[in-house]
Amino acid sequence: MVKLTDEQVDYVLNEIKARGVTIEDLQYNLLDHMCCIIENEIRDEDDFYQFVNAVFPQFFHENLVEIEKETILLVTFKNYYAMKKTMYLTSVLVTAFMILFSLFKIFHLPGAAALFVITVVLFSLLFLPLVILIKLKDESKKTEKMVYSFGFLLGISTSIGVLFKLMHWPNAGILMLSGVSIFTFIYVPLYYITQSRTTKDKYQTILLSILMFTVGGLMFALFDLNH
Amino acid sequence: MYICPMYSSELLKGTLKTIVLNLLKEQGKMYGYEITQRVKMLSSDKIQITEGALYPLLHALEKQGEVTTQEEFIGKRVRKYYSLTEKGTVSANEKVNELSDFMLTLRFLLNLDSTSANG
Repeated sequence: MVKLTDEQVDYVLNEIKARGVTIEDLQYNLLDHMCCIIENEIRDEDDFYQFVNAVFPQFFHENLVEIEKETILLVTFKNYYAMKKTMYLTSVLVTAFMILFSLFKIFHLPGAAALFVITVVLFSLLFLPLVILIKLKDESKKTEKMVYSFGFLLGISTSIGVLFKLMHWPNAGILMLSGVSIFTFIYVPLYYITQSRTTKDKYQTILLSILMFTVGGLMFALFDLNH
Repeated sequence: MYICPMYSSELLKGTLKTIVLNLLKEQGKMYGYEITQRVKMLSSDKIQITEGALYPLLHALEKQGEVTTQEEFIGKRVRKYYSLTEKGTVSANEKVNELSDFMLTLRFLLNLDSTSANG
């Protein structure tokens, strides 16, 4: 077995860095792995530099930085599936609490207000933020990530506004009006423009945009702007 | 993600974590290159784990607290040995049991017992 010189080890490390791997830990993992391959497989007649450049491609499909991207993806989104499960569980809880709240309200039972607070808190502070995080992971295009996140943030602000309004807490009007106005007059046109450029299903984009605009417009019409 | 001369990568997807955790359980501590060579040898070259699949997984396992690392300096380079934590051992057992149960179900589902008996 050949023993690599310090210069040769430096050469391999510099190649790893030059190919875009920036995580130090990963650089040293790959360096040791590469050195092991060279030491075990290089023959006396082989040229070291040619051999190194021939071995590198077996580490990736297109370029070495793929390994770093995959590492970041696995490490960053290790809780991805737990987040998805929590999101599904929260959606079931929100639906159940909303049905319970409706029944309590119809039959004038005590505890309706508490149920409503729990529902909106779960929806806006757990469900919607989880939807944003999952969308950020699932969507590959930056524009889509931003558009969806913006939309769900508006959803959070509007639903908290509704909670404040029904509980007669202060500043409910500002929260609801700003949420609904930004949603109807900024978000819906933005959604239409970005989606109609990228999506193949233009019919669905138009339909969704009209629906969102109508619902937003109806909610906006409920506000008495003089007060 | 895999270089696999015999099996399709679809078939092996999802088994890498089980293979690595179980190897670490049996061997105690191992470094990256050693893991790839051991899998290659045990599977008679039928399964070859690529570096592109192995290192992201090892980093994720370390982050999740399922493996712990120990560094050894070899001249100018650092060799990182991986070994299972208590959490990793539990996970290795669970993964192996799950996979073994899945393989048993597949045997029934694909009727492999009667096929081999007839064959």
